[in-house]
Amino acid sequence: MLVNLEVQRFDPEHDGAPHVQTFTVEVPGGATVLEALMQIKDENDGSLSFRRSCRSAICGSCTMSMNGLDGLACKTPLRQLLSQFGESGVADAKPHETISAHAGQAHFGAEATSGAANAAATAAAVALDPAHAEPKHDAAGTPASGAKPVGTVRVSPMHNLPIVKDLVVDMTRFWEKNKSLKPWLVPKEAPPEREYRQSPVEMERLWKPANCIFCGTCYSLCPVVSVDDTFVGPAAIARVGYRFLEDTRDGARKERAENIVKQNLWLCAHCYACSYCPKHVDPHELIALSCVATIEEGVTDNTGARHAMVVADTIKKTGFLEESQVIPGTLGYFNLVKLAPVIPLGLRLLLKGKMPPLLMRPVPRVTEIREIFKAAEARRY
Amino acid sequence: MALKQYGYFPGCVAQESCKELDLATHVVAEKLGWELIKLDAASCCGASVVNDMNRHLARMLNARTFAEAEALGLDTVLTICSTCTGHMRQANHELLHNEQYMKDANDVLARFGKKYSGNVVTKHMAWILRDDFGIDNIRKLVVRPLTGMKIGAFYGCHVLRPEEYASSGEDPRNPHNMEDLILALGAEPIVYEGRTRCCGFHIQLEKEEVTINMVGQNMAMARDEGAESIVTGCPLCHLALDAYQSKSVDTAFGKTDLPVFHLPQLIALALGVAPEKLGIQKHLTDASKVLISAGIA
Repeated sequence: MLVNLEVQRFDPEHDGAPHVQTFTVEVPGGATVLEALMQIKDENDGSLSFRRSCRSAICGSCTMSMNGLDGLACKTPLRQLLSQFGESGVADAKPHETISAHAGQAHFGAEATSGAANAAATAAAVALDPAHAEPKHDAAGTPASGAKPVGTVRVSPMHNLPIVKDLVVDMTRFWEKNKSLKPWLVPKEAPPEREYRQSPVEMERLWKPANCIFCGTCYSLCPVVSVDDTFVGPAAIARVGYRFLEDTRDGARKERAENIVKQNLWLCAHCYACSYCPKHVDPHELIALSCVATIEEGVTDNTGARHAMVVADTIKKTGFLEESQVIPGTLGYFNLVKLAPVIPLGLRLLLKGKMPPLLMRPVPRVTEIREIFKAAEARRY
Repeated sequence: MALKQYGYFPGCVAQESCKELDLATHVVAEKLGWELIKLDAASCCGASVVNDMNRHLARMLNARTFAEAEALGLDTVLTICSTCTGHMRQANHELLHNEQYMKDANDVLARFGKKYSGNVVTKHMAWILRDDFGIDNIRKLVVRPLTGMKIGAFYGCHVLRPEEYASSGEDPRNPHNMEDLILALGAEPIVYEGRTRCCGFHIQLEKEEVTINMVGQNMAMARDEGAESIVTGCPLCHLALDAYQSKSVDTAFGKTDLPVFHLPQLIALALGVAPEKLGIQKHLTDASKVLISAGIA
């Protein structure tokens, strides 16, 4: 099928800012984004830079943003993206038909071979406004045979890390954050004579983080990291933080709990953006379990833990999450330093008649809810 | 014609700081011929916090809510909050896919004579409008088209992700039910990247500055695509976007002052209801300019 690939280019030695280059290429119907990029590098432009190694979702090198969806280029078929967004490659709030493996074939005359289409691949560099990537198509990109591309796939580097060249980013900060959570075992006691032993149940808890390949997809997708670099991020919490908090052979659980809270564990916004993990590690779930572990370790003198506990408390009392109790309960009823900044907002709400009631009347049969709390609190997650 | 009945789960926020959402939902329900049977004894869905801290608790609390609905002979719970929708669907998903979880929940419910059989679905109001009522049928009821209004939808994370149980059946990375509705009401839907992103509500107490930046980022994306107001199906998103836009002026994203409507408020406006009957005047980001230029107020 004939496809437009709009690739973000940046060469620090020559470019002031990133720009978009459009390649119109003929690729097999089942091609992945990585295969298309490798074809471009082989046949059209050897200077195109991107990371790749295994081509089978094991090494975690080829993370990039494709039509704005971050993931592994080797695991993302072009057709999947084309079916998601239609011809423009931009989310358009419209349903789209699935594109078949033979899409675009009807447009080809007998003479339109793969080679002919490739010969027409363009090098149309279009200036890109960094705030708004809206590249324009160059007419020269369409092959002379009249064949029409089935659609456009936009490729750009992963987010939240500085660009080195084209699709290659500097991962230093990502690795620093992983290191900040101490990615090594701190043994409880002198090593056993033979191997460390774990029960299958203990081992099972480590399966999910063990599948992480440090590809950084979740880090790239994280909206908190995008505005606050102090958040340690989903990958480090899942792969390093949770993994050692839950390793029964590790002897530093308390210190780890204190450290992970310092690295802003509780800044996770619960947005589930990291649920698009290509290895199904479910970072969002492991972040939640890490929060539980810190509370188990008694690391509760912080906003996140207080918030969690006060919310549960109000539900237990009345059945409702009581907004009027949660704010002072989280920040501290007498903590004027923390309460002072929220007072103006509270006053604005009050003036508009949006102040939540100070006391909620408990829901009917609230004792049933307390019974549920009793049963659930007796159990570990 | 018999009224269509739904178990109504307004959620905590619509009964506390966003009462106008509850109000507008009732107005719309009456216009559409829905009977909303409030699940009076239901508890909080657990929101992110309980779901994160103790999944057993979240499942059991929601199983009790579903049992309340079943006892009333209802099979659908209508929600007006993305956060409730996502977490209730997560609980139900786990109860239905794990016999032990269902047994655990029913063991507790049995202590006070309740049982959940697994026959309740939670659906956001927007999905019910799309699937049960039909967008075309809403279009037919419009008496005051919102002509000229440029509205960006803000979905809220919990009706999109995780895809496994939270999404409405549309592609969660390119959803369209809200835009379809905006179009049906006579307004122009503005598509912008931030519409499926996080508002930052859940971490406002942890670090307000981050929420302010996330709000600023999303609203700047909407503003730059030409949106003049926002509509959301989540009162938590509403609170964040409505309250923090004035504070995000000083961020790198610049000034935005887009009024943030609750979904049923927007529908009611197009069905001819006066803005003051929908509590729109209670919002912190003033909507009067937008409403006046659309000839509504």
